[in-house]
Formats: sequence, C-alpha cells, structure tokens
Amino acid sequence: MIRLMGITKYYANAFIKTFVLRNIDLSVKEGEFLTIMGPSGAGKSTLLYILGMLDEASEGEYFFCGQAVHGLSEKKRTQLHQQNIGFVFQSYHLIDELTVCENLETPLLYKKVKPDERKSLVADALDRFRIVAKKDLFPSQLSGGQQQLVAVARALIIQPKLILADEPTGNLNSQQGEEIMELFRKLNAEGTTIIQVTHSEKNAAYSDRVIHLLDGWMNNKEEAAIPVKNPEAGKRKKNHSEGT
Amino acid sequence: MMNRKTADHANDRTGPRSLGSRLASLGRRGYWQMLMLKNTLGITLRSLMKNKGIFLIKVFGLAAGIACSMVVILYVVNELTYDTYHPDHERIFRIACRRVHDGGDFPNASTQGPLAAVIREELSQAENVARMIPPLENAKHVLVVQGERRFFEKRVWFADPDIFNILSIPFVEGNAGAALARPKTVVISESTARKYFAGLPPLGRRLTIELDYDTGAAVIEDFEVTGVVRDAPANTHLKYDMLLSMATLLAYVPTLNQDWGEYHPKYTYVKLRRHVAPSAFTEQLRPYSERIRQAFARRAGSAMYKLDFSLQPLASLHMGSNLPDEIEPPGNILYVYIYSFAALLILLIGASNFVNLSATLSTTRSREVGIRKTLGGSRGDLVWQFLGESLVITLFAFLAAFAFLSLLLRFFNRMAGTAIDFQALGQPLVLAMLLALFLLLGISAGLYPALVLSRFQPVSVLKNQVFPGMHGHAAQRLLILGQFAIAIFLVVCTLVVFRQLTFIKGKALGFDREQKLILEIKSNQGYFRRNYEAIKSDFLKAPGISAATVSSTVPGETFSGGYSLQKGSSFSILNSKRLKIITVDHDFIPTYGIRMTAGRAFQRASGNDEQSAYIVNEAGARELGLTPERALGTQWTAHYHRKTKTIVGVTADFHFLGMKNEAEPLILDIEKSLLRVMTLSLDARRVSQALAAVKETWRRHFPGVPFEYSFLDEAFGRVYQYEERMGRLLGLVSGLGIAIAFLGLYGMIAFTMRMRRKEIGIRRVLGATSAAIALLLTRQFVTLVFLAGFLAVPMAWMATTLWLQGFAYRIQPGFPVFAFAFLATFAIAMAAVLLQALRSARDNPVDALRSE
Ligand SMILES: Nc1ncnc2c1ncn2[C@@H]1O[C@H](COP(=O)(O)OP(=O)(O)OP(=O)(O)O)[C@@H](O)[C@H]1O
Ligand SMILES: [Mg+2]
Repeated sequence: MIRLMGITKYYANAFIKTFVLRNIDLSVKEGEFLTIMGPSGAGKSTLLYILGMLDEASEGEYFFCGQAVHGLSEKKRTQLHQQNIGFVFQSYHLIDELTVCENLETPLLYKKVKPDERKSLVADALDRFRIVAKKDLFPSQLSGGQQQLVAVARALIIQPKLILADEPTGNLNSQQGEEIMELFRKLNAEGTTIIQVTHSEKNAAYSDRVIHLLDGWMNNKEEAAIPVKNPEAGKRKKNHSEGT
Repeated sequence: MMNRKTADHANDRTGPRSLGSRLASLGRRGYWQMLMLKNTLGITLRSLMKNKGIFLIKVFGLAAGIACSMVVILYVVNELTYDTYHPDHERIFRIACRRVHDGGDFPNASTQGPLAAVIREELSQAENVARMIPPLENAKHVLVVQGERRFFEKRVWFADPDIFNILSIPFVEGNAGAALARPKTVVISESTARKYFAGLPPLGRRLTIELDYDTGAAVIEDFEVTGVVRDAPANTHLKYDMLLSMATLLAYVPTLNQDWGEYHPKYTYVKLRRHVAPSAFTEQLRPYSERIRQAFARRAGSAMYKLDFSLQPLASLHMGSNLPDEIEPPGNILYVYIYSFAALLILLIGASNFVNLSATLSTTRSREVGIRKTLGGSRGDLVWQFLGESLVITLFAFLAAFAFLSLLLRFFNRMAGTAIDFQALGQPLVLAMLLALFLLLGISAGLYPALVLSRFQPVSVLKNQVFPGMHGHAAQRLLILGQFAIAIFLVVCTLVVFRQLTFIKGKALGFDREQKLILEIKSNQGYFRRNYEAIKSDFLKAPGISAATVSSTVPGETFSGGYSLQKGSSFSILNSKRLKIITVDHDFIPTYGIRMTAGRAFQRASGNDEQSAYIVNEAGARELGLTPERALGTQWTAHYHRKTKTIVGVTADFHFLGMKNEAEPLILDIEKSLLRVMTLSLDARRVSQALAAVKETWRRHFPGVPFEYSFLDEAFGRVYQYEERMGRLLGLVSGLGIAIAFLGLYGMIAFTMRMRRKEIGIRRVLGATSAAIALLLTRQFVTLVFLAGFLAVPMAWMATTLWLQGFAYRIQPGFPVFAFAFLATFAIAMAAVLLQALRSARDNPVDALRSE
C-alpha cells in the first residue's frame, strides 16, 4: 500500500542543511499495524506528516496505492488524503469553536458527502464511540480521554484506509490510553492500516512491526527483534526518556 | 478512489471545458459552499463572541462609514439626477434670454410672455410649449383660505395646460387635458389637498386665493379644484403645490400674450420634436428675437443691441444654471464634492479599521486552518470559508448601517436643508453601487485570512511554528497610519472651518442687528406702501418698541435690484453706473445704527429728501469713481424712476450679507415702490409684551393676513448657513472618524496584549518595570501617530487654504491650529495605548504565566 524510497527531509537555510530524515526506505502493506519509535527529535512526526501528505519530502519517492504522491499537484494530493487518511494527534486538535457533532462532520463536508449520508455517518460514529450524550458539547467541556475519543472518531468517520496517529495516548492516563489502543487493534483487525508514533513500548506491542528512527536514520535491523502482537510486552515499564 | 482519479484525468484531457460544465461545476461548488457555510458560520459566530468587543468596534466603525456614504450617495444622486425623471427630458428645455442694452448685459432665466405663443403658432419643431408664471406681485406668499384654514403658499404657479404634456406631473384625480382649461381653476398637490380638505374629496371644492396682479390691490377669488397631482419630488427645480390656470391670469393681464416689454419673470418650457437639434431650433428663433428687439427698443425708448434666446436642457438646470431669477437656488457642485470627499474619508477609516481588525483577529485562526487541512480541507475550501465569513460580517455591518441610516438621514436633511428620502436607494445605480461596496469591503476584509492563512502548511501550524500577529504587520501599520492621518486631516479642517466662522462672525458688520423684529408685508403691499408712515407710528405706540423703519430688504436677504445711475440731470444709459439699491425711509440709518463717513443721513427736517437725496456707502462712492467727500453734492439720475437727486451722505460700509464678501456698492433711496419689510427695535426686557401689542396693531392694519415675524439675528444667522452646515458635517465626520480610529487602535492593542500576555509576564518576572513595558508596547504606535501627523498636516493645510480663498476676510491657519489638531489626536491615540499598557503592566505576572 505504501512504499517510500530514499525519502530524505531537510530544512535548509543560507548556510546549512539540517537533515531530519535520511534516505528512508519503507513499505507498509495493506492491513498492517506499524509503530514508529525513537527519541525526541528523531524525525518521527516528520515522517508521519510526509506519509499523511501534509508535508513533502525533500528527496525520494512516495507511492500510495501505486500512485506517485511526490508527483501530484497540491489539489490532487489533498483529494487523495481527504479520501483515504485519518489523523489522530497527541494534543487531539479538535476545533474549539465547533461542537463534537460539528467536529465529526467537518471531514465529511470536505469530502463532499451528501447531507443525509453525512448525518447517518455522524450518528453511527456517535453511537459507536458512545458519545451520543456529548454530541452538542464543545471540546473544552470534555475530558482529555473523551476529546481523544472524539478525535479518533473524527479520523475514522471518512472510513480511511490508513490511520496515522502521532502519540495518540501521550496526554492520556494509562486506562484511557489502553482504551484507545484496544480500539486501534479492533480497527486493524477490521482491515484498516495503522501507523502510530509512540514512546511507549506497551503501545508498540499492539502493532505488527516497529521501526526505529534515530537522528533521521531508520534502523531496520531491529524490525525482527520486536515480538509481534504480544500484549505482554506492553506491560513492561515505560523506559523512554524525554529530551535530547 | 480509482474512479475519482480516472475522472479527473478525463477532465484534464478534454482540454478547455465547455461553458456548461464550467457553470455546472460552479453550481456544485456553490452547493457545497452552502453546506460548509453552516459549519463555518458556527465558527464565525462563536469566535466573534469570544472577541465581542473587537467585533462590535469593527462592525460599528464600518456601519458608521457605510451609513455616512449612503447618505451622501443619496444626496449626490438627488443633486445629480435633478429633473431626469421626466420622460424624454433630453428633448425638454427651458428658454433663457439675454438682453444687452445701454444699461448693461442682462441674462435671465425667464423670457417674455408672448414667446410661448409665437413658438406654439409658428414653430413646428416644438412639440409642446408651456409657461410657468409665478403670481405677479406676491410670488412667494400667496394667501390661501379654506374655511378656518388660512396659510401662505409659496409654490404657486400660473401654468399653461400644456405643461402636463412636457413635464411629468402625474394626476391622481382629475384629467390633465381639461384641468386648467377654464379661468379660476386650480390643480393642487396631494399634500396640499390633505392640508386644506383633510380627507374630503377635493375635486369641485373651492379655495379662496388672494392674488396681486401688479395693480397695487389684492384680488381675492374663489378657485375650483379641478385636479390633484402627485407631490413634486425633491429632485426637480420646479416644485409646485398649486397650479392656477393661465386663463385666470390672462383675464387680468390681457396683454400677456402680446406685451414683450413686461418684466415679471415668465418661465418658458419647450419640448422639441424628436431629432430636432436644439441649435437648429435656436436658429429658428433668431428672426423673432430680432423682431422683439426692435419692438422693445421702440417701447423702451432706448437702444437694445442684442437679444438672444438659448435652450437650457432641463436636467442641467439645477447644477448648470445660475442666472438671475432662478426658481430655486442652484445646486453647488462644491458641496457635492466636499460632502462626497468627507464621506469617502469616513468610509476609508471605517473600512481600514474593519480590514485591520479582521486581519488581527484572524491570526487566532491559524490552528484551525492547520486542523482543517489535516481533515482534508483544500486551500480553496479555506479561501472560500474566510471570504464567506467576511462577507457575512460585512452584511452585519450593512444591516447596522441601514439602522443608522434613518437617524443620519434625518440629521442630514435638517442640517443641509434637503428633503432626501430612502426612495433613491431603490434606484438600480445606487443598488449597484451598494453591492459593489459590499463586495469590495467583504472581500478586502477577508483577503488577508483567505490568502495568507489558507497558505499555512498544516505541519508548521500543528508544530506551533506560526506565531499569531507575525504576518501582515507592515500592512496593518499602514492601515493605522492611514486612519490617523485621515482623522488628523479632518480635525484640522473642522477647526479651520469653525475658526473661520468665528472670525467672520466676530468682525464688525457695520450695522446693529440686536433686538430687531422683522415683519414682512406679503399681502396688501399697495396699502402698506401708501400708508407706511402712519402704520409705523401705530407700531411705535406699542410698548417696548423704540424705533421703526421700512425698507426693500433687511440684512440676511439676498437681493439683486439695482439702479443704473447717470451723472447729471438727464438720463442716457450710456456711461451709466450700476449700484445695488436699498429703498428706505428716513429712519433706516439710525435704526440700524449705520455710521456716516461723510455728509448726513436722511432728515425729515431738510424738507424734501424723498425727492432730492441719495445716500451711498463707501463702496458705492468708489464705484462711482469718487471719494466720500467728493461724492457729496454730486447729482445722479436713476434709470429706474428717472429722478435726479443729490448725494447728501456717505455711510461707512455695512455687510448685510455677512463677511463672506467685500461690502457691495450700495445706494439708499427713499422710494415707496419697492418697500416690503418693516423693522422694529425691541426692548429686550419687554419682548412678550411688545409682541402681543405688535400683533394687535398688525390685526388692525392687515386684517385676515396671518401674523408672521422673525428676529433679525436669527434670520441673519442663515447668511453663513452653507459654511455652518459644512462645519457641522465636518464636525460629525471628524468626531466619528476619531472615535473609529481610537476604538480600532484600542481594540487592536487590547488584542495584541492578550496575545502577548505571557511574554509580558515573563519580562516582568525577569525584572522589567511597568514603565519599561509600557514603553515597549507604545513605542511603535507613537511613531505611527507622529508619521500620520506629518502626512496629514500639509494636506489639511492645502485643503483649508483652498477653501479659505472663497472668503474676502479670512484667517491664516497657522501653527497653533495644526499643532492643536495633531496633539488632540495624538492624545486620544495615546490614551488608547496607555490605558492598555498600564493595565497589562499592572497585571500580576504570575497570573499571566499560570493561565497558559
Ligand atoms: N521548520 C523546521 N526547521 C528546522 N528544523 C525543523 C523544523 N521542523 C522540525 N525541525 C527539526 O526536525 C527534527 C524532527 O522533528 P520531529 O517533530 O519530527 O521530531 P519527533 O521525532 O516527532 O520528536 P518528538 O518525539 O519530540 O515529537 C527536530 O530536530 C526539529 O528540530
Ligand atoms: Mg513528534
């Protein structure tokens, strides 16, 4: 489904190029659950944004479902992303001035889904995430876990093929975090491809495969070392540290 | 997804799309925009509520600007569309004439009575011709009585029935063809019908009208109402309330259609046939004018060199014609310009305030932009969202402006003496202008967020790499600069106008205008002229009346009558000099406190001043080519009455029309025939008692004539009415302008402070003093307002200098005026800045940091 070849990202100013991603080769199969790990500043988020077509690589090729993303116009890229990709962020990124319900329908509006279909999709999502009672509240009136739930619901509402999650549980307590991860596992089982960034081994354990980034380099050797779908691994103490 | 992709490719391949599919896609786009609008409107409203203050400032400023410009649009449309509502107005003309003879060059808005008859009978190029003739003697004050109701009417005309075939005067009742056929019939306007008949059917009822046919005696007659027409609109030079049949006049003045020498004004309107060039028609008139010239010369016993008729296009009369005997004071294009300019300035302030605050507020929206983009919103979607929002807010401002409008229009009408109503708003041109204004404002206010914000890369927004208020700063500073420059400009102009007015009002006029009661004799003038000495002495018996005089005019009235004077005892129009005439009685000079420079005032004791004495003012003496001393004793013969009299005195110059112009050359003469006003000097302590007694005396001498009076200083105040109106308008506009600029600056600073609250908190923690922070926050704005001053002052200097050129006596707007205007504006701006700076400097820094 996804193939990255030689993806490199750097920020250039007059004198120096700061490399954030270096020569990344990566392929993700449809239905896979992938974790990206690495210390802070390693380029995880950057890679995720590139995958999500929110950012462009400086060099390299990106194929999404066989289509060369690196060659598309902004308009086409927006369409591709709007049809296929759902985002979940650490800091939720709900629109503060919209109610839960309106937040949920926003991506559908951009996708130009017909009003009646839109209504039923929103109703389904509210049901499924058990947030019907909250539908007219504003984000500021929800707890962090509830907000993340809404954010996930919003990411899923367009029935994306791919979910990109950047530390989705970073601001949640462990029980809320687990709920979200269980949800991801279920979605993955239903066939949605998921790529998550996390600092938590426990969360990583939900995935099929883990890749590690360090200073923009991808360390492929470790791939095999990670046990696949072993929830037990998640029970180990978090051992990452913040800061570089 | 694949389907979509192929569809797009198909589109690309077909090359330029057909119009149909373009329209369809535009339609589809519109449909989705409508759906989006619900979503984004929610945001718009809620983010407005979060910044209520700024929103209100924004909308208020713009609404004030729009309302001002709507009023001015209405005013300008009214001024510029005069008489364009008549069908075929391009073919309708008023005929003006110009006579050149020994006495001078006399253009006039009116023509001789027989001209219309000649055109009707002999010139086939005219489709219709008709005259409008004001009642001969008492044109401005026709007494009309109906039962208990008695009023003076001003807009009364004798009209040829064909006028209904030339001008658009729609009948509500009665029939245009027959209404004015018989003598003693009258067609009245709807409001006149209501005034006299209060709802009763007016047709066939009678009105008693008192007319003076130049015979010296008023004739009172019953007229039958044969028609009711719509009220004359505000934008016609020929306003009417009553149209009397020409047949009535013809019965009293049988020579009307033959006498070329009769001098009362008669306005002739002609409608040419299609495809007849006005010049061709004037050419046809030439032989007639030659005939008339000779006839006139014979009759008047003097040579007439030239007589010209010219056609004045109907729609050009208001702005383009300023001849003697105009029906209405002509429009002044200068005021159209000044008012338009003032409205434009206030609109500019309001709009730049609006755009500026919109840009400022929109910086809070960058996060939303980022999120929307990750949710699949394209740049186009966001551009539309922000433009749509901006248009919605602009719509609010327009609605608020409409609410403002009725208030403002009433104020404007009162101030400018106009009767403009909303009707003109419905005109397609005005609607188009408003729509254009709406789109222009809505789009320019939405442009910054639409173009700048929508370009944000979601990544940088989500990574918090966009700092609110970073972008557009230069443009915003420019807008604030502009606002304050305009505000300072307006303040300077207002100050100069008011200082100039105070200056000319404070200058000695050369006569005494306190405590004078003015009684105008509008009816029974013949009786008054024959018996004025007796009438005066009756009024003098009233308590509190200390002096009385009669004259042809009083201060504050424009008048145009003049004497052509010839030195010596015989009159030949060759080498005559022309002075404006005020006819007076013996008591005029002392009653008005006019000073004598040489010689003496009129005296009863000297025996025969009525027959033998003139008095001129200094300007008059100069005009005659003499110093005051040498003028004394010189003899002059006036063309008007062919009497030879001696100049016995020269007065100091006095300014009956205020200090706008130099004193006019005048001659005073005791001559009954033009007398029409009485001036009574009042004792200030007994005004009401005196008034009651004066009214009693009036009743005795003028039974049945309504008692109307005015105080001289009030009437005289109207001399400066144009300037005062403009002063008041400028005052309003600059007040509004400053208010908007102040509020805008205040709002923007308040907002910036809120955004920088944390930074300020940190600075405080790091040891910055309140003063240092206030300085940090204000420095930028201080510089801006200074710059604005430097821009505005020279422009204001040029504009006011230009305006002051129109005055004979004027101030020199100097450093103090400019400095004051500048400092006042500066102080107001500083107040906005300092209020905020102090508040935030006083904040406990810890609160600011904790709140994040
Ligand atoms: N606009 C930019 N200009 C220069 N460098 C940038 C820019 N944006 C990001 N970077 C750098 O790119 C690197 C990778 O950033 P990224 O956000 O991808 O890290 P991350 O792995 O997600 O870290 P974290 O775990 O803290 O979220 C960082 O070192 C950052 O400083
Ligand atoms: Mg990150």
